[in-house]
Amino acid sequence: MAEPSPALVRRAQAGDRDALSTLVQSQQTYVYSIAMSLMHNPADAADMTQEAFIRLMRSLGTYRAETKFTTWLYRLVTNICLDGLRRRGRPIGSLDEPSSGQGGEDAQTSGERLADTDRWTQPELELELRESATEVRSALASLPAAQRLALTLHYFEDQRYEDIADVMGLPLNTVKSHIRRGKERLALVLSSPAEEQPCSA
Amino acid sequence: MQCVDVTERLLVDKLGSDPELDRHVAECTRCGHMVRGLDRLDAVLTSTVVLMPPLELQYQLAQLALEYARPANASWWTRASAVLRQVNLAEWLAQRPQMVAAQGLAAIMLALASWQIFGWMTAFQPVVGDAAYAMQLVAASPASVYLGGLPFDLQSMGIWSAVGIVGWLISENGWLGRRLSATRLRLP
Repeated sequence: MAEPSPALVRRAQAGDRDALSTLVQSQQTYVYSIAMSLMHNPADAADMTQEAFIRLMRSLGTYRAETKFTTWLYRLVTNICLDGLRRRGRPIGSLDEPSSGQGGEDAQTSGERLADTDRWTQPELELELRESATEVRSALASLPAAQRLALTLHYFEDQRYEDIADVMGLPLNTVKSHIRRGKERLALVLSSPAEEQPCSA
Repeated sequence: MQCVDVTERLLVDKLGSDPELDRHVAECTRCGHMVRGLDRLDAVLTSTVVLMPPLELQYQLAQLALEYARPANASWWTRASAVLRQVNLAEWLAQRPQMVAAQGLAAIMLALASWQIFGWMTAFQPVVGDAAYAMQLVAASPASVYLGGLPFDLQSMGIWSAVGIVGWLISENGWLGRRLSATRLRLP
């Protein structure tokens, strides 16, 4: 997520059409990715994204550059998504919880460590990752929200951990822990053999 | 460095960040296999967690930005010239030769009528407020002569008839107009 320049933000606050269009275009992927990581559903994520940008347009004048724009935007999006989840009866609790699992812990991977898994450590065993989008999203959905968000920000233009910690408002070590545990869990889930699927004739 | 610790490090750090880590990975087949696996995992996750919004949503967001934009405070002459620049007279006239001719004809008619009105005006000295004198002017004007009797100003009738005939000829239903419709005028 490229941090927009202060000049661009000021012009957008003044109502400049080109600046507003540029701002929306540069941040839409960032906002949508965060919304998807929280909502798990493209339709809900699209609704939350639109709501986030409406709120952004209305409250852009209140942004005072005390924090980074992407940090301000992240908090706006996550608050809207959390409200959206509550309205839909799917609250996910706080995003500040530590990395030790909460909800959705996979029985296959609890207690298991990547360093102990043959598939990842024995070169003679070919590593097969289940890479279909559905399986990966399903694995991501099994992670706690904080780990999922940390991973989303981590893979978004390869952000530094310090920037992610700043955006999420968490200590640096907590962010690293979220990413480490999240990746480890995904690695174990995606490399485990798929369960037998029902045959579709 | 133990392989277990290296695995933990590799989950968050990239190769090149620590020479000791790099040396261990280069020497240890198992950790080398781990690095390749994690690189593959990174590629899979990057394509999954970073999502472009659907095209329809991108369009809606672009419209939203335009709705909330405030129009620039341009000066009146800037706005007027912007409006005038949008009118491409040459392009418009080139498509309608009959319109060119009709406008020319209308200009001729306007000139003739103005000439006649000017003639009437110069023949008399109008006095504001003198109703009797005003009635004399009306009575003395050529218009009242035409209305009161049947004398025809053949010269005027001829001129106006000629204008009407030419107008009909070049109209879209006229002989000339139908021939002109098949071609397009190219104005400079």
